[in-house]
Amino acid sequence: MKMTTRALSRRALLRGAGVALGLPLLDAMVPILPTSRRARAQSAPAAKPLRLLVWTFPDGVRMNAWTPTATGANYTTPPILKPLDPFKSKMNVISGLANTPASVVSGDVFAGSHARATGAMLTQVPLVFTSGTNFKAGVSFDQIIANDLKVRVPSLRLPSLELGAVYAGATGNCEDGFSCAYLTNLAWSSPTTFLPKETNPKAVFDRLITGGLPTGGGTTNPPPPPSGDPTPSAAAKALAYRKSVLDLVAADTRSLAAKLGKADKAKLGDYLDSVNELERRVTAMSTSTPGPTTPSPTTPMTPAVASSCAAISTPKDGTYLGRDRTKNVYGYSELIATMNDLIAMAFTCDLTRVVTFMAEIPLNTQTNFSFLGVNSSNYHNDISHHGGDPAKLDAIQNVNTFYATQFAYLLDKLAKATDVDGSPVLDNCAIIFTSEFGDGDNHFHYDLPVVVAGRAGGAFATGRHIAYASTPDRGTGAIETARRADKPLANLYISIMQAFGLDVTTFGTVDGTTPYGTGPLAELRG
Amino acid sequence: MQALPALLAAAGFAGCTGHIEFDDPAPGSGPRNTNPTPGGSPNGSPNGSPMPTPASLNPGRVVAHRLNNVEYDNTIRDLVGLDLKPSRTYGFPDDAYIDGFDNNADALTVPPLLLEKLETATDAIVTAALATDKSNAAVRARIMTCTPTASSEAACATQILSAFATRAYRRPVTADEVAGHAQLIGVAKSLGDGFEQGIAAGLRAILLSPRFLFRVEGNPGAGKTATLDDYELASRLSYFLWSSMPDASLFEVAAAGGLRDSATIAAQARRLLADSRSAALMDNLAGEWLGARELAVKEVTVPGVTFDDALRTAVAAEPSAFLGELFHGGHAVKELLGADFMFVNARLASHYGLSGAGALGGQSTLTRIAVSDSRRASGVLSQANTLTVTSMRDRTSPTRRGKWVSESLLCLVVPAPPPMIPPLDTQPTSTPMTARDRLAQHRAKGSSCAACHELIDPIGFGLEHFDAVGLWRDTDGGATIDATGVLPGTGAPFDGAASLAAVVAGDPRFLDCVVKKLMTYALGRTLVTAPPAGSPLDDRVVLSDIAGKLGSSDGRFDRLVELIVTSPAMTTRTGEEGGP
Repeated sequence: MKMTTRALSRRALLRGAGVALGLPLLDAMVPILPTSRRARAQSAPAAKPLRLLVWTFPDGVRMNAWTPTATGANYTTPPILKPLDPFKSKMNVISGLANTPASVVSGDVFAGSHARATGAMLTQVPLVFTSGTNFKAGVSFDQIIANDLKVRVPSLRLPSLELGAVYAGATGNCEDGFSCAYLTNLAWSSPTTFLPKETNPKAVFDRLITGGLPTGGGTTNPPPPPSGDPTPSAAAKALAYRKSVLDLVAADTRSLAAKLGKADKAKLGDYLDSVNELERRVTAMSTSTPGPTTPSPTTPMTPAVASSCAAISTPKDGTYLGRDRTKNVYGYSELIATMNDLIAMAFTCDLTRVVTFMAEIPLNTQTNFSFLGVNSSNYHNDISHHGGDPAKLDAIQNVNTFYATQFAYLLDKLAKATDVDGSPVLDNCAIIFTSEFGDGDNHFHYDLPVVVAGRAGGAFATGRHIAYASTPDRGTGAIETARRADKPLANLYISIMQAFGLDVTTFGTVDGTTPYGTGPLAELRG
Repeated sequence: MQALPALLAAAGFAGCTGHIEFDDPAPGSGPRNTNPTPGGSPNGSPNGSPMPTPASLNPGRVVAHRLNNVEYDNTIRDLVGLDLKPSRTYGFPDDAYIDGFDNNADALTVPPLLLEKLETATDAIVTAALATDKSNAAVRARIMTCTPTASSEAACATQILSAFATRAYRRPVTADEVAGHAQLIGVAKSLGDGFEQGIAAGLRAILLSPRFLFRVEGNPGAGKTATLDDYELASRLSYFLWSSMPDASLFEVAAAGGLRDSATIAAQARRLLADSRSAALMDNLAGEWLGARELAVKEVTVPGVTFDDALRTAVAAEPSAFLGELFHGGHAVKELLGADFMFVNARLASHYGLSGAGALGGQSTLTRIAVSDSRRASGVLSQANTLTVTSMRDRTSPTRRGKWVSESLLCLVVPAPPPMIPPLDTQPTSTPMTARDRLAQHRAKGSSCAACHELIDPIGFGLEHFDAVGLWRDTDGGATIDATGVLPGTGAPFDGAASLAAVVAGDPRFLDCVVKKLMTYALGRTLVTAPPAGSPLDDRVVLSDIAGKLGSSDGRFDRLVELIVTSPAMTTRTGEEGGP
């Protein structure tokens, strides 16, 4: 069954995701799972816990210090990727991928190029030109995976986590009339709903530990007691109250909405979606959900994993700090490291399996890289627009290498942590390390810098430089806006979705009708 | 000038038409490459469409309006009696800014992340409200108005929950509406808990209800317009002037049907404005319209200036205190740009170089003083907040200042720059150059840039005697400052800040702009001032009515508040079809 290019309605998906106890999962409610595959999921032993992470840094890369010259398994590591060398055998460098939907624009080819590149990065659709409230992209592929996990592994604490190291508003004109929504967010749960990022480490930590951390020897939360049991545990009671309260709120919302006009109804309908989603999570946290169509729960946490989780979730200095916009309590690299710690914790404790992280925001003028010895009071214009100046190119390379070092820190943690199935966490990961452009001066949406770290549970063969041919003409205008023959970034996403077990063969579009990604990257296969 | 638009279009620079327009572009209209006729009256019709007559006035409607973070915090404070500031404690995601304000009903949604945090916050609020320690006695007693006996539990539960819901939902509540909540006592019992836990659960359900979280207004039906009911009007009044729920007194007036009458509405507005809770209005206007929120987090690295927390706090507080006096002291709108009073503490006075700063003592709150230095007599245009927030981190930006004045005080639409402009060259030069000289050099790099810059920059040049933290300077870069310029559109000349302030204050576009800004904030929706052909909604009617009445009266801020709260856009609503 093919994924259509029409974005999935989040509401349609959520309605089907077991809102009330005992609701069977009907075919129509789970459009992306064909019957045969669902049957496999029910009868197969617990599958490998695959984990998706997209880790981005902005404004492009000095490509001749990033792209290896040789292809295949024996490439010399280029300077920027040197910090990732310890993990060379566990990752692939992929070159020549294009983000053609991002190149669709009417008018000036440079107008909004960062916003288009970022907004289309995980959605792979052309964006609606606006800086008002009517912005529109598509469902991002990480959310397609997250929605599937809601059905297959409903006990996950969080369907997905959206993180950032830099605060940025998401409304108004950020770039040539394109909304900030496109520039400052990666994940979209519906074409018109981006998922706001958390940039406060304490808030992230609090969300991750709400309800307690997994303990060894069983499922994470005891079920609510059968009625009449005089001594239900505190956790069970809390869940029961939450369920009753949310039930009442949902009923209240429906009865209020019934009397209202169209626009008000839609507004309350969105609220109801959120209430239903929260209720779904609460229901899933109690393991007494009855019914033959309930998918198997996640592999119970073993003591070894529980202790790995406990170890990785203890913050370095005893506490995670709240981060107020008015005060930089963390230095920049310290903050990235802290967010990396939280990602490692979220994966190791199996609290979520889908994370997106923006280490900075494109077009940033916020972060001063003088701590790297780089002379820049304005990163974006001062150095990423190098104009061929050797000093600026060196500066860009310096900044790119900084991000690679931060990323390597996370890979190290993931390689050393034990996942719920006994493998190193990194083995089960598919992690995309990338920026929205290759060369930050010309802003082209092809020949993108992409590293994919992790073996995706064995679905990917690693340790290579996979190079796809990129159309040599680096011109603008007709080349930029025409459909290109370069290998779509969307195909990488199809590879990842398929590794997660989704029956997906197309993703994204350039013209609104024809699929853009039309299959997985065969070369990645393990 | 007339030839330039065509040149620009030919050069393919869709982003800058070389002409500043007087109305907001329609959303989603794409890159602008049309050439509207220059000039035109601000509330007239630059696009040629005739203004509708007052008889056909359409007040528009505001969609179900979620309490934004500030409103949520204030409402919890007033409803429960504890100032917990939950939106900050639990890190609610930031609200979206539309038209400069974060209370736009269309933009306010409840994503799953926010609901998660609301749930956590609600737990904490209810636990704190019902706490039995002595210091919390009044707060608890306000909610727990009866003690149940074995036979009266259901009745007591209904009493407590309907009283709380009436206040939380900002309208009288029927027993039906809390029947489900009262049944939570039964759920509590089945879990081995008691009456108290059942009530707590009921309170949580009330605080998570959309009837609390949203301000919902009734639907008159498609094609019809109706007056809001008293409770809806009371909420509009209190959320405009207090960013919070109505108080008991306003509820009583609403319950008695008093808000049917304009005179009563105006009187209540005066009462609410005089109340200390109107500080929310001043803080929000100062924060969002005058840039103080941005100032609070802006990087400032001007050599020789210690922009520490104490100074930053004082600078950010000045516009709010100033607005407070303007609204409460019966001042005219034009005093925003020219007043004989200002607000300082010792630190801020010292920053401004005012004599007698020491006499203000060490307090951090600002005190009103008479303006002794005539260079500080231009209202917000001579305040450090405005001058700093419109600068780069270490130097002035006449372009940014010109843009801010054009957009925030004249409501002009300044087109975005074309993409990929090279940065301004800030390297030291052998001949002394002011910022104005450097900008001239920068503009010379591309003739397409000059058209917009010639309109935007001059206002900024008028303010060039104030450096990047608002301190006076006679020279810049070793050269004499030329602070002359003309206003875009009218060509009215000025020389320096005081003269600029006078020219802007006297421009009819200024009054119209202040009316528009305050109306946008009061309503919580985008005002339609460039309606597409056939659009039923045209807010120019109500705006020009208010501006006209304001202009022909004393022109005071408090008069403007009265005109807004009694206007049909505030008191009536058009309907729409029922939904599916």
